[in-house]
Amino acid sequence: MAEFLNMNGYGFYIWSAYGAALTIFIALALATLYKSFRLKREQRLLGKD
Amino acid sequence: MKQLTAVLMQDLRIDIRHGGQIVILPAFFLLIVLLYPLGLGADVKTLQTSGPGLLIIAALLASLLPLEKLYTDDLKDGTMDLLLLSQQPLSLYVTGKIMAHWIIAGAPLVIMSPVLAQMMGLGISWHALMLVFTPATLLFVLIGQIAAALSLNAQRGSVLLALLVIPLYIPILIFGAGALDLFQSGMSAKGPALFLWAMLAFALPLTPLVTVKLLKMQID
Amino acid sequence: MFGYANPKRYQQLSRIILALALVFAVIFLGEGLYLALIASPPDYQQSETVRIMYIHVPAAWLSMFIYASMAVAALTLIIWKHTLAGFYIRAAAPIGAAFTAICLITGSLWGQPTWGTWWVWDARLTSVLILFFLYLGVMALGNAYDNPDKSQQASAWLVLIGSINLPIIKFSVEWWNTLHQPASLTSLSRMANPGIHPDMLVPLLVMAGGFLCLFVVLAILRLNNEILSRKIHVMRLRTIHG
Repeated sequence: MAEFLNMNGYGFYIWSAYGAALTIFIALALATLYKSFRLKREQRLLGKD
Repeated sequence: MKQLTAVLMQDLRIDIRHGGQIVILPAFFLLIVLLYPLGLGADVKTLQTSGPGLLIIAALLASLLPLEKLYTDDLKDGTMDLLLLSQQPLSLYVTGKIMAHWIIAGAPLVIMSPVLAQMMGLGISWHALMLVFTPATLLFVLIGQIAAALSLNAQRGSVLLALLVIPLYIPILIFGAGALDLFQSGMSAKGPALFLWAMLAFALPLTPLVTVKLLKMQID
Repeated sequence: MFGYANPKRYQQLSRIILALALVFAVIFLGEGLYLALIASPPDYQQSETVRIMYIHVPAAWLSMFIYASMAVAALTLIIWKHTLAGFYIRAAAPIGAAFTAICLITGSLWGQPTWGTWWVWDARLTSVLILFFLYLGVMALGNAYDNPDKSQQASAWLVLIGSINLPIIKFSVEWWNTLHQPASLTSLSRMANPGIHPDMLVPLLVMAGGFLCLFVVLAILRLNNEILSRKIHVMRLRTIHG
């Protein structure tokens, strides 16, 4: 396992690259879902008036 | 034709009466060029190698300044609405605007360029400079027109305008600096110089059309 | 095709596509990650760092594909005034920017061990950086007006103008690169040409498929947001005007 994580000494670069991609995707997905949640709540509130 | 010259003369008159970008822009151009020796050191070799690119960059930055105000006044004081109502072709108005824009913000930079090239110690003849700066400033003006019409009255207009326009200016910068570089080293600069003129030939007929479309979009 | 302008039919269709894309994204990305990180062999020259390619190159592909799709949408909006196309541009631009950012970051992380530097002014990297700024411009213009219709139209025009300029920019950057002759480098993306070994090509394609599905998922979610946000805008206007 440690050998796999180490990636022949290049672990830092490889895991940073995959980590960066993952972080960006998660951030984008969360932002989208949060906006959807906010919009739906707003729609409900407006519908009540 | 009459309408075209009317727009042109009015823009020039307004500019001169309001303290004149026609004077301020060349001064700004000179000011940016002044920064380079102060930042890079006055070593003749350094200035000569980086000079061609620096001159085009300075012209590019100076070209950004007038863009934001191009159409805002005409939009705010109702000129544009009147034009639309009057059934006059908007393309004449836009063409007049483009000509005024270049006379105010392009031609002075072309005229200044030999002086600044001398100050940077560049060995480029003045007609080579004309050959590069004429299409380069015209292209800055044309693309600037499109970007100005595109972001007319937008929020955070000036920053937005720079963000939109600088990526589109990149080919002009590359071929302009490349041509000047080749001129200075005495090699044939035919390729990049011709490419600049080709881009101009492409942009010249298209720009008024696109700008008219964009202005119409902005008004209604 | 224009039948899907009908909101009901759009909703039904989008739900099916969303589910399918989600399932395939999980399958492709799972398989792709396994292949990329475990099953594929290290490169004989670049050793393990070649594994970065499996996200770098598909991200580059997607960043260009998304811009091209936005250009088609921009034409659709300008010629046929098809509102859904305007929503699509707003929905897709941030995803395209994200893929472009991933391409730049991973390229930098790949450059450091292979070339010994975080950034090289290589023609491809430079054009991708410019593409990133075009995306930022489209996003900024899409938020620049209070009137959402105007924002949409303006950003569609920018996408279109950008797509005419993009080949010119690419050509000029390549010409600039030959003029200035940087230290000779083997371009990262050369690895992606079809001549590469199938052991590497397969994970590359699987990852690209996964990214594409992920893009579809995110795009549909964001598209739904755009539609809902427009509905709320209309509802608000209605309450104001009675």
